[in-house]
Amino acid sequence: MTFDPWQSLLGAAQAGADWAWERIYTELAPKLRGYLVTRGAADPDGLVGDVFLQVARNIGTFRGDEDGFRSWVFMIAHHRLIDERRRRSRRPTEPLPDDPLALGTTESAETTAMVRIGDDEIRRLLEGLTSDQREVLLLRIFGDLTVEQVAAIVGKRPGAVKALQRRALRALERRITTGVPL
Amino acid sequence: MTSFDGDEDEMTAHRDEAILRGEAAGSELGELVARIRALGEQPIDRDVIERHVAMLVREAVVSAGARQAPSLPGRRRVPRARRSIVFSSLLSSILAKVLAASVALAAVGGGVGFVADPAVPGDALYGLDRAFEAVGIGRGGAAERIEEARALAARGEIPEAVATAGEAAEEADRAEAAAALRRAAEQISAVEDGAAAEPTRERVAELLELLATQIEGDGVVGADVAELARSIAADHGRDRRPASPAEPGPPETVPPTAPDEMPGPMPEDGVTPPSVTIPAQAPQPSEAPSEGSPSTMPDMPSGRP
Repeated sequence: MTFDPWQSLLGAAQAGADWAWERIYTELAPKLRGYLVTRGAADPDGLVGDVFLQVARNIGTFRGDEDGFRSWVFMIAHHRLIDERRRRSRRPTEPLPDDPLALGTTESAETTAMVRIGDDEIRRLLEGLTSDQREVLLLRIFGDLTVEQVAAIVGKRPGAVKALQRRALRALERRITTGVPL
Repeated sequence: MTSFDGDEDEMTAHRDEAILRGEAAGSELGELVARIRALGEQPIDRDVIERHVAMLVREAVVSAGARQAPSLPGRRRVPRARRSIVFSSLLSSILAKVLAASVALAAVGGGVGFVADPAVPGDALYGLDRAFEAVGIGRGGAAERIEEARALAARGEIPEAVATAGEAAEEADRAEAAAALRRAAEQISAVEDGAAAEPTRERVAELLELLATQIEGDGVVGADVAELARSIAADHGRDRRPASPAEPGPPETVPPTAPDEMPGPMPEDGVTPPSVTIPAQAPQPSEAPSEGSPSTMPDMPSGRP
């Protein structure tokens, strides 16, 4: 009962053990990247790096289990997205945040990333959701987070999060069944 | 969308949960969710992993080192700084002094030790007090969000409360405050387990009240508010050992230039920053913004916008 694999992994990461970071990174980075890509991050790969850097910087303060850790990482990602959007919205020449899935407007590596990951139909379906709905849905899916964890991240009540995810799923369902080709 | 609130939808809610957890293959919606989830299962290139891991190890070591930097006798502690900036009311300036003083006392040397020290419940306040600095007086749709934040704080849902307060600041067009609150939420979230500690909660709740006062902008400063701020600060200070000087952070983590969240002194509304407690900026490694700072991964595929 004294041996807790997660705690020892965490401890090792806090001490800067590379095996620990590799484990954490390979476990979380793909999910994080999926989240950032579907949220329309302009530079998902760069953002994955930024988020992890922040994690590494503050990991010494982290206390909690693996679930809590994942939730924390996604919270940081969520906030970075908000920052990125604010920056973009200050530059009118770039696509505005409300069009987060308008990929293809950038010709950089990200586009390639999306194409590689790429699922056009999923993208189109997600575009049919409001940005709030998308946010909640994608946090739940990629972060494997509970309603309460998502609520803490987006700063809404759990009830509001439930409502958003419900609407998101119903909207997706409608689009599937009414023959928007999948 | 009240039509979803009926009892008959409980089944749907259960099914939704199962779908979101990936436990409901078979339905079309379940398939779709599974496909979305699969987008998060694409392996990262080996060389990217190696680059990033090396970077993270270095960063973790450097940060840990900064946290435990030994005291240098004879060195005056460097109080954290430039915390005055956007204050635009008397309340703000009182708060600034009180908080800055308490932080100066509390901080282990420079900003380095302070933010990173996990054991101290006051850590959560670090981000909050920056939010105070930035918030000035705000008005508008934010009041509602603040109400929510209060309610959440009262229920002990602290990270949620702080994030909501951040949205309030956002709505009040206080970008810096919003950013600071988001950082605060991250910090609180990081120590959530331990920091469920009552003192932190209480203080966060109290500070939220003050934040509310700011945002609701009634401008009148009661002696009681100042008193409250002082007592918070006093408690805050009491929790911590007297400051001992510490190394300023190493160059890797500490951009010599100001973080963009707190851009240099920019007095608003002609307010002069409180003069007493505003020494030179001590670096704040854990708050370094990603934008334009060395914190950005140097060799990522593409540059930041």
